[in-house]
Amino acid sequence: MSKGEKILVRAISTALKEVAPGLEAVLEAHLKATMNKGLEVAYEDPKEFKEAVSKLFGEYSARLLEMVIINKLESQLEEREEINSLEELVERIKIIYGE
Amino acid sequence: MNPLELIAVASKRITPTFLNHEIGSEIESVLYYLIKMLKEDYEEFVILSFQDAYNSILKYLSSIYKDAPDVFKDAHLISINPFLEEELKPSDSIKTKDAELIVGRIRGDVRTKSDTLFLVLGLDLYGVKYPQELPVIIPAIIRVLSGGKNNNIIIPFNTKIFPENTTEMVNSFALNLFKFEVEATEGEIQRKLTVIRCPFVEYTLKSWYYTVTPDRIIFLPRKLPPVSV
Repeated sequence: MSKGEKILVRAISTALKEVAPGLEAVLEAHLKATMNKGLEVAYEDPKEFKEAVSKLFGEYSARLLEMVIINKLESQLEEREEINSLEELVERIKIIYGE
Repeated sequence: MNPLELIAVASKRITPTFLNHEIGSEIESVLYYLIKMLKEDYEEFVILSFQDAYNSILKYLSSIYKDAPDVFKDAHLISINPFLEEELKPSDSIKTKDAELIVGRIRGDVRTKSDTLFLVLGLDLYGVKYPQELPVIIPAIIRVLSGGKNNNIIIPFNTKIFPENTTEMVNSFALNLFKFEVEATEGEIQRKLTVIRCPFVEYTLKSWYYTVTPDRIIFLPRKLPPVSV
């Protein structure tokens, strides 16, 4: 797992524990069953991850989770420009860590 | 009284009504049925949508319920900080994070409206992005929307993502308060509705477990048989 991937997966896991305790296992089981992958799919293909979350919890909850994840990492990355989507966040992480 | 009817009747009697929800509680479906029940009783239906919330909810509901676009089609939409929602052609589009500016614009939009059903979506999304604005915008919005006669304000809000003091602040403005929770154990989830506050005191702290089907929401007084997800 690359450094950027580790950082994102940790942020997602923390966000899930905070905002949807107990649902991390449900989401991981869903990703495993539908894609044979774990939370790292968010780094590999953020759009696919969002679609999977949306299918499971609904579009609105997926957006909420996305914003909590962005909020967790935005200050850490010291970004000046606003980040509006998980895709943008992953793009920035990749640039920062040269991945 | 069916719990959904209880929410509808309570919201007509006193306002605002807060629907506290958690990720996985299927609040979108609750809103769909609730709006369907209430809309006809009001002259106008106004949606205030922060951070594309309406776009997300409509997209999800349209994938489940064929008539979802019809249920929401006559709404007067005010979009606050839209990113994707412009394509829905909102009546007004407000682009600022400043709570006072937002409320000023909303006041201009809804000043004379009475006998109106207001659905406020995405305040929680806005609160995640601009936490310092939340204590300003919530009371101000309620004050503005309550101005007209016989208005009904429905506000779904995910309290789980905020610290306890924020949740307490939000709940202090709710005259009706209903909580939609998710209980998760070993890959199984159960959804639960609890009445926290409403004018029908005999229902206070009463809970139901519920499941969403394509035709209706089924409420039961006890846990549903486990369903793996």
